[in-house]
This record gives sequence, structure tokens and C-alpha cells, in this order.
Amino acid sequence: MPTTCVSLVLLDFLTELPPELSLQILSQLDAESLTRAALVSRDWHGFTLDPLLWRQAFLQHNGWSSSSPTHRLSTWDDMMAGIRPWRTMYQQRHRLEKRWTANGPKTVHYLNGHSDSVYCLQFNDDLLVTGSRDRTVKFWDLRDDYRCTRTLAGHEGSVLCLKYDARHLVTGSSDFSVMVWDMDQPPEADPPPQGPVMQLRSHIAGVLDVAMSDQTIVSCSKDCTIKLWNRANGDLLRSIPAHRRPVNAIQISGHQMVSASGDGLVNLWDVETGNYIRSFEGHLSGLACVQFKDNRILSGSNDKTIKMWDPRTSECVSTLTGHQDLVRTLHYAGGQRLVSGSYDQTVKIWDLAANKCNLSLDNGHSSWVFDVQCDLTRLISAGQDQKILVWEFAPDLDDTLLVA
Amino acid sequence: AMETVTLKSGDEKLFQVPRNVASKSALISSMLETAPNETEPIPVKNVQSPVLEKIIEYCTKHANDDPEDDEDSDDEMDGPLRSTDIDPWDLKFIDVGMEMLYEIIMAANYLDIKPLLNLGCKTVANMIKGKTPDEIRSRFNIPNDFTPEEEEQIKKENEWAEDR
Repeated sequence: MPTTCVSLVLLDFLTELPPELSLQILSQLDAESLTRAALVSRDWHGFTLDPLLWRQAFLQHNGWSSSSPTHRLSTWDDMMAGIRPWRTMYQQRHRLEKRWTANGPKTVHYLNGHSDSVYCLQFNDDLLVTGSRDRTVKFWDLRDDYRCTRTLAGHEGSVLCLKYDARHLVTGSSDFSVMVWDMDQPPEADPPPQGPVMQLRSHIAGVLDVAMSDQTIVSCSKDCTIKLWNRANGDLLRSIPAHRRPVNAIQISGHQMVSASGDGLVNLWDVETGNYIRSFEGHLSGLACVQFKDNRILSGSNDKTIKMWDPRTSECVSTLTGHQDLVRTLHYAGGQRLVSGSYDQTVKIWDLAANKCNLSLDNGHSSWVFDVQCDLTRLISAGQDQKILVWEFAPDLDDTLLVA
Repeated sequence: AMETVTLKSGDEKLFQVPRNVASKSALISSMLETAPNETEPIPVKNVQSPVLEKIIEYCTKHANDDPEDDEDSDDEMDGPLRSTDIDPWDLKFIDVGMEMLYEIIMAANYLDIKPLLNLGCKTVANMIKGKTPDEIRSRFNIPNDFTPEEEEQIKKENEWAEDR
């Protein structure tokens, strides 16, 4: 034994080393190891409470924070890290993630109001909008006990699809038309509900999906075309003979849009010019839905599978199997989470990194699922059984502590 | 001929090493820049000769590493995802007794050799990772100083991690 070494009776590294080095050691540990380390001794327990460790653990998770993790902390970050309850945040988020991947939702609410199949929905933190075969669109207040606050009547056929943003609600119907409604309309009947601000007519069959950008509204139809409209004045800009069969779904991302058709193809287009870019071929049957995911495209088919495509090479990157019938609707929820709804009456939650189904919600719907969307804490689905189901994953968690 | 510098350990032993090896230490590197007399031994008072020898072994091996790599691995908050991949040579190098490991970490911190400090911290972290509290206590010879009530309380605090 070299006499030059400091004689240490105990080699308890965490208490012997300077605190910043102890923290550096602990910062290498995952949350599970940290919680075990907390049980070693009083000193160790104290070390594991450091908010910086939990900030680190939190930011290490892909998709837990909206911005990418910053490895080097600025002084300001150090201050903020001390202020935010990172350990509690980690714990809450961990609980939530576990529900999404294994435990399932905490509560389910049924929203009653439509008198026929519910075909489409969209929601944000405050507002849910649904469209139905009963020809109406309904607004539901997600902050106030899911109260139905507004009903729009105008379409002379089923409301098959809808999209809204801060300015407009755009609806497509089996009456062949697209309607544009003002989102600012005062609720309830005083003054009496007004009709749409625009009605776009040109399709010669039902309008199956709509999408919009700042300048443009896009609609696709059973008539096999995609039509681009000037959002400001409703002028028809372009009509694209896009597919050989009905165009069931369309989505815009930046300068590109993607369409899915009964002809079994996903097609990629330039929104500005309407130019065709390329097709994605591989599904064995017609397609019902399509979604952009960062640098990928996802499609759902009558062949019961979901496929993920590389938009640059047209290559099929992966295939998700599990649904027992047509995959009618997809929603990419950020991170690695994808949700899907099927004619097999289930809603499934997928992990795109592991290429597997984490959770299947089997007992909600008693018929075809037509539309599904989710955010961080809830999933809303609707279907032929007239039900709108709100699956709550975090009713008991503080949602201000769930994101970095 | 290769330019060399002389280091003097805390116990007054002299080590002649190539300048680029000594410069792996940010502390020595900055001392060299301002040294009035390049032939004078550089005192490394806080580090004893057996430890300094190990440090020189490490710096010799890594003398020609891309500083970018050092930069990359010196993150204070390096995180669990990257801590498992330790280079085989480094793994063998750091396979030392607990006291030497402690001394290496302290010396790497003092001499400001980021990749070596990181290696030391990762090594300790790997001794903790995936272990039960009992296993950790016996590994580091730590007495359990919790009262049964305290232990129960902390277990309760940590239930969320097991929440299925």
C-alpha cells in the first residue's frame, strides 16, 4: 500500500469527493438507479434530491421536452433548474408515460349529442370539434365539463371531415361541398347562428378530407381529385386528377402534401405548384389515412397494416401489424407515439421506435372507429356507434408539471 | 527530438514526459504557456507519484486523441445513455482498487483532464447502476444510518418508480 495515498477507512465516494464530483457521478445514473441510491444512506438520499439530476433525467427522455436537451447549462438555466420542481416533474411524467405504454387511461368520458355516426374530430387544450352523419358540427368545451357549446348546421349531407385553426373551421361533406366557418362566431343563439363564410363547390362526389395552410385550403374527394382553393376568397386554384380511386385522406406539412387513396397508393405533392413528386407503393389494398411524421410518412390501409415510408426514397421503412380490420385513422402525437383507429373497433397506441403496439383500447367502441387524435394527456376517439370517447390519462396529475 | 517537460510529484519524484502528453492536463497546459523557464520541473503538489504515474500512462495513451472527442465526452451532464460504452483500454486502465480510483478522480479533477475525470465518474456510476441499496452499501462500505421510519418514508416517496 503506497503511503502516499490518503488513508480512507470508508471509500464512500459520494461523501468523500467534492460535491460537484458526486453530482457528476450521479448524473450518469438513470431514474431507477437514482431512486435506489436514495435508500443507501442519509447522505446519499440528500444527494439524490438535487434538482439538476432530475432535470438531467427528464431531458434525457426523447420527446419529454419540446426543445432538444441542452447539455451545457448556462447560469440562468442553473437558476431555473433550482426553481422548477424537477424531481416531482420527473415522477409525474414517468407515471403518465407508463399509462400511455402499459397501464392505460385513468378515466373515460362519453360525450352524447350527435344522433348518428361521428366521422371526424379535432381538439386542442380547450376545444373539441366533431362532425357527424347527422349533418351537424358540434363544439365541446374541454375546460368546462365537456359541455356542448355550439352546433353548426348547414351541410346537406354527412360531415365527413373537418380541420380548424384560430381563424377558420373547414368542413367537407357528402353533399359534395366544402364549407368555411368563422371560428370567432359568438357561442349560442344570441345573435342567431350564422352560416358558413364560404361554401366551396366543384367536387362531383363526397369530400373525404380537408387540410389547410395559411393561404390555401385543400380538399380531396371520392371523385378521385384533389382541389386547391384560395383561402382568402374561396377561388378554385387547381384541380388535380390525383388518383385512380377515391382520395380518402390528405395532409399538408410545409410545402408538401400527401394523399392516400383507395387505389393503394400514397402520393406526395408540392402544395404551391400542385406538382406530383412521387408515390409510395407497398400496401396490398386501399388506403384510408395518411400522416406526416417529421421525416417520415405513415399510412393506414384496408390490408390491416400501418406502413412508415421514407419520403426521399419511397422506401417502406417499417410495417405495423396488429389491427384485425381496415385501419381507418392515424394520428402522430409527437415523440415515438402513434395512435390508430380501426374497423376492428379498437384504438391502438404504437411505439414507432420499437415498432410495436403498446396499448390497445378494446372496450370503448362497439362499432367502426372513424377518427382518433391524442395530445400529451388525452385521447379522443369517435365512431359509427355515435360515441365520442375522451380517454383521460392524467386527470389526477398537475399538467403544468408534465413538460420541461 | 521530441520536446519534453518535467513534472514533480507531491512526493518530489521527477517524471520526464513529452510536452503533448503533459498538455492533456488543461492545468499543466496553461502553466506551460506562462512558464518563465521551460527547464524547471513543474510542481504537481497535490498528486503523489503512484497516482501521477497512472495519470501519465493515461495521457500517453490518449496524447493524440482528437480534442473534439475530449470536448464531446467532457460534458458534466453526460447522462445514462452514453455511460456504458467505455473503451476496452480505458476499462483495463481504470480497473484499480477503490483508493486508487478515488485518487485518480481527485487528480483528474485537479489537473483538469476532462476525459479521465469522466472515465472515473462513469466507473463509479457503473458500480451503482442497477444495484440494490444493500449491494451498494457493501460495495462502498457504507453503514445504513436510516431509522426504520425514515427508510419506510423514502421507500414510499419512491413508489412512483415501481408504479405499474
